[in-house]
Amino acid sequence: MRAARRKGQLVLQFGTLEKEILLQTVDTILQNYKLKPADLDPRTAAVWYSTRGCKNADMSEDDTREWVETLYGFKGANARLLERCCAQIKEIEPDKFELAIKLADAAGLVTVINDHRLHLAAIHDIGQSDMDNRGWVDEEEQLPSEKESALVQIELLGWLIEVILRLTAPEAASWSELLEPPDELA
Amino acid sequence: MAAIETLPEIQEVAKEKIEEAFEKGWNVIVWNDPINLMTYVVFVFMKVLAFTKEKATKHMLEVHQKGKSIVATETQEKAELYYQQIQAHGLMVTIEQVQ
Repeated sequence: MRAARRKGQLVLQFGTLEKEILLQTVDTILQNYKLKPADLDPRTAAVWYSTRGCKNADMSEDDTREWVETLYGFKGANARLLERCCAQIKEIEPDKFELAIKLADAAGLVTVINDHRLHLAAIHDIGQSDMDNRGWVDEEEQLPSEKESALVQIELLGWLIEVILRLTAPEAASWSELLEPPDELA
Repeated sequence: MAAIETLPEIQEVAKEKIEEAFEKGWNVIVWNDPINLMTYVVFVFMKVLAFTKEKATKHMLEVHQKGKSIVATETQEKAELYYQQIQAHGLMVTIEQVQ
């Protein structure tokens, strides 16, 4: 996949296989977005629609319900954005597809991708140690294949978020420039 | 038209409620989690809270290193708004009354 910024748009180009994987992923995201919070996998619902802060704030049951419904409304807006983006995928030459997105929509797309990463982590019980040890797994301690596959997807989607943010929100993407460089090794 | 008279006790309660509503007595707290990328967290802070890159980075590093960061202290209404917007972006966030 290649990404570039062109004439005020974010342009993503990909091959047939990448397109198929992308559309499968989009399909899963849309299904989850459309499910009401109560019908969603409880592990994903606990992340997407967490009400921990509502409890801290002593919100009433009615206010909490309204709160979750508003969040569900945000997911609905994300779903419509995603559907609009997918409808714009064009074949520009054999085995080469292009998706041009308005820069204003790129921020929403990043959140959609991030939501899917959170969903994958939730349903595969991926925590800090899994994220810290990725790439360093001992052959004898190999993770179950589904979890391994989810970790790879989380990594790839993370890379895609970084790429999109570098092109559309360079200020945020360059935060590490503020850090002091490490001392040179003696 | 006759003026509506209000009992002093009711006036006092109403005054307290108004003061409470406008008091910046609510913290918005963002918690560390293993999935959200550092760059994404900076992006959300800049977008939702209108932080500068420097301020967003400072708070993101605080979340990453200390486990949490108070990103805003606001009135209850505004704190709830921030809470909802940050939650909608997938970050782990809560609000609590300042002790």
